[in-house]
Amino acid sequence: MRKFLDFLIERRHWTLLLLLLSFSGVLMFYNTPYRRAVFVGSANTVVGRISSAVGSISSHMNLKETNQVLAVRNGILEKQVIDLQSQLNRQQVPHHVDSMEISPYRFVMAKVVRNSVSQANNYITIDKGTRDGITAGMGVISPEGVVGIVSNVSARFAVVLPILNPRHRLSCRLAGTSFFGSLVWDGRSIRHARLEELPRHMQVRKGDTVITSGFSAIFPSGIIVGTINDHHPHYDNNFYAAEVALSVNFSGLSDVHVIINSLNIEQSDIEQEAQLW
Amino acid sequence: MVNRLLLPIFIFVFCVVVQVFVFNQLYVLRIVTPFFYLYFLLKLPFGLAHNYMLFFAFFLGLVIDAFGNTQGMHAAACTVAGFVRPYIISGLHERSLPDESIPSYRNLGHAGFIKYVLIFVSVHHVTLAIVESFTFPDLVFFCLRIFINTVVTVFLLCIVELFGFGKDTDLS
Repeated sequence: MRKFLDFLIERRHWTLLLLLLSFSGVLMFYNTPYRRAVFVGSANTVVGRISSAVGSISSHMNLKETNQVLAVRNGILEKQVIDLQSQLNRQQVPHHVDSMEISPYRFVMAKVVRNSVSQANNYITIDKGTRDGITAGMGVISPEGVVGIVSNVSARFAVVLPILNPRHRLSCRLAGTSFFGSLVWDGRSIRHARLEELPRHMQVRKGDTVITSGFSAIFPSGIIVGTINDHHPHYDNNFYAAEVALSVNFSGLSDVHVIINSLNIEQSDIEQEAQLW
Repeated sequence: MVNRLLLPIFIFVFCVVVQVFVFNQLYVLRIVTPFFYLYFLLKLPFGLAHNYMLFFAFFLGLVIDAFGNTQGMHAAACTVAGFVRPYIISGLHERSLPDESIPSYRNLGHAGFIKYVLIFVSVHHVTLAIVESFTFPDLVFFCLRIFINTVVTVFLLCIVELFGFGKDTDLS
């Protein structure tokens, strides 16, 4: 026993090494939302304040590009308004409005204060938190398309798990078809991701649009994700995967919308209930 | 005396700020992100007790993690690198160096210092890559990434050292 103690004291830096490594291991692998919130959340109030100062400078530098994107988006929306209005004028028949047809989605505007694209696991920090009604699991989009899902929230900040993170899986569908697959990031390029689990018999052409499937209640159906880039798909067994050029330019991200779905909790509750049986 | 206390704190803050606001924003070819902050660990005095070395390394890694949202990855890599640092120095240099002085070109020699940086940075990068690859299994890409990143980081640190805090070593 005494010898063992002597050994421990003589080699105490080994013990310390193991201790510190296991502590960082705990940080890395016990990524339950609660634990993450303790570490990331508390750090983010400090870090977030510093970062928002820097973020405000870089968002100024991106203004020109952002402006252009907004102008294009504005044009598209205006055209839609005109189209819809003309449709409305044609069908002046008052029809019965079902209460379920009211859109459950609301948007909260947020600014990106921190954004990483160079890591293996990337995260985005935005300047809206629980005070603005944001909770974990909400979808985040930009005017260009899908950005990611909120993973941690503090009072004033939220951390978003973007598509550029291998833990992120997104259920997607090819526009104009009912075939869906799941989008994952392979870590090679910030402009590309892979659409996997596509049924083998379906036809994919280069330039086909990939949109959200709307199954998960996180994103409404039909938000653009990207376009098919690789028309030589990779097969494995019964499924194949295709490369998708993402529509969002993650390195220049500055303004995003968080989607609040008022029916989300209701849907996930009933889905969980169904799984219990 | 003041210099001995203030200089490390200054280097620490400088390293973290430069890493977080300059080098973390770099994504040349999506591969190269030089880890400049290792400069702080490289420039700790020779005679620093092993335990303190580990604590400083862990703490530095934790701060970088907090800014980069990388959950303990840098903390683990830094701890391992900090742990092997005394062995690198004793391995490279037979005769004992004065405890007070800080590694530099002058007291390790040019080749010696570059070797010291190279081994230290390699240990850090390999550990980081192993830790990252738990979540991200793409072996070829990661080997390439480690290799290029190590070369760039070593190059950067050796250049910085040419102009850097090396001259202050004899003040203490």
